[in-house]
Amino acid sequence: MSTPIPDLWPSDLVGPPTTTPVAILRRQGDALGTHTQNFVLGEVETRPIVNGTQFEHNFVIQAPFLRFRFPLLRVTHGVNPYPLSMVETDLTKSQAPSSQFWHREAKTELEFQDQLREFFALSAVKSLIGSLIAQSNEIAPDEHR
Amino acid sequence: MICAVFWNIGRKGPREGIVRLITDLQVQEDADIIALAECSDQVVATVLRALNPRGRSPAFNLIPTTSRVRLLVRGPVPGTHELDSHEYYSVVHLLPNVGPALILVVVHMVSLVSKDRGHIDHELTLLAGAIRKAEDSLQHSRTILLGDLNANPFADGVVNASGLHGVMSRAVAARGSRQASHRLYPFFFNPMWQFFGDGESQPAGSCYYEPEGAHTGYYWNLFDQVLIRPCLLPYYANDLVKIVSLIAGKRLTQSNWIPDRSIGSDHLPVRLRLTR
Repeated sequence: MSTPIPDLWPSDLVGPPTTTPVAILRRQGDALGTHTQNFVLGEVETRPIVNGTQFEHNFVIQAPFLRFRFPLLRVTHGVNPYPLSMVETDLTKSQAPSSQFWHREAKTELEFQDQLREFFALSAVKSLIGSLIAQSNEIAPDEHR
Repeated sequence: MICAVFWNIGRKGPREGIVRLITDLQVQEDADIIALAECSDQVVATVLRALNPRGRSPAFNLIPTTSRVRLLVRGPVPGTHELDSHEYYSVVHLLPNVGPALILVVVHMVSLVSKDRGHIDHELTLLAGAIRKAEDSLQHSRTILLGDLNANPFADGVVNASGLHGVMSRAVAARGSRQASHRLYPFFFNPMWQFFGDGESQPAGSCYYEPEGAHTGYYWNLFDQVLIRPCLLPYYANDLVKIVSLIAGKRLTQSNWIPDRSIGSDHLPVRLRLTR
């Protein structure tokens, strides 16, 4: 009888619980859907980049009645979820000639949440989301508002 | 595993009681998928509002389609998208929250009023080719088709090998495929054949047309159909497909089973449930 092959992974392989950036982004997508009865919502698309040494999470805004589906925010981090960097997309970037993409770095989960809150409150973001909601509502007015 | 309903609602408006019937149908059948034909954006949007009451985490998503079939899916279903489409159909890669990925094909074929049977058979053959192409690209055939084919289960486009290749027998469908003229064609199992009958205890079809002066007239037609690929047969039983004639206690038919358009549509809904 052969000897069983042992599990060679260290016992502390799974570290302390952390809310990952992708979980935080998904929650924001669902929350937007809750506010709008899924007329406008967010979805997260994740892919490994730089030969698997980094992850990229695209927070994609969808307004299905308008056939609108574009990335709003791009979050990237290394193998570990923090630190991370986040950058807006062309969707909300100012058209002024010298303007730069809004971007932030976050070292922790709390910093990430603060910066997301700041981003969602930008006038360009509020204007975009408000317009998508208004145009979607045109199709079937929300009679309870 | 999954429950899907399809209903051609006959262009009913949002204030004609159809929204309530659709949402009651969802509740009655515990449907995960609602596919609607002859349905305006306004109706589907009002249905979505009703299915996703304000203040609660939304249950259903509209999957954008470029065909004339509207599709609502109980979510979240990230990644679910239309793989291929035409005015008459959408081929959707469905990634349910639980269970394996499926290919969902929703159809509203061109009407017999505007095109002849030969044209519709040809369109069904083109649809069958699009389905096989999607299955080849995804490398699986967990495919469910539901829709108003504007053709009966015995029509050439539904039965022919190069068409949908829908057969009435589970045992035959379980063979997987058949060679015709040196080409291999996969089967669909078409459970709708079981509904041909005398129309005494249930409707003799999903829609009814008086033949008027025509030499050939079937009166009852089974244009609204569900078909499944053989690999889904382990999840299927005969009573899992039905033509719905009653929603929340409200009859959709007159006393002779003919669909009552003053209540619902000139078509009856069909429902497919697949279970473990």
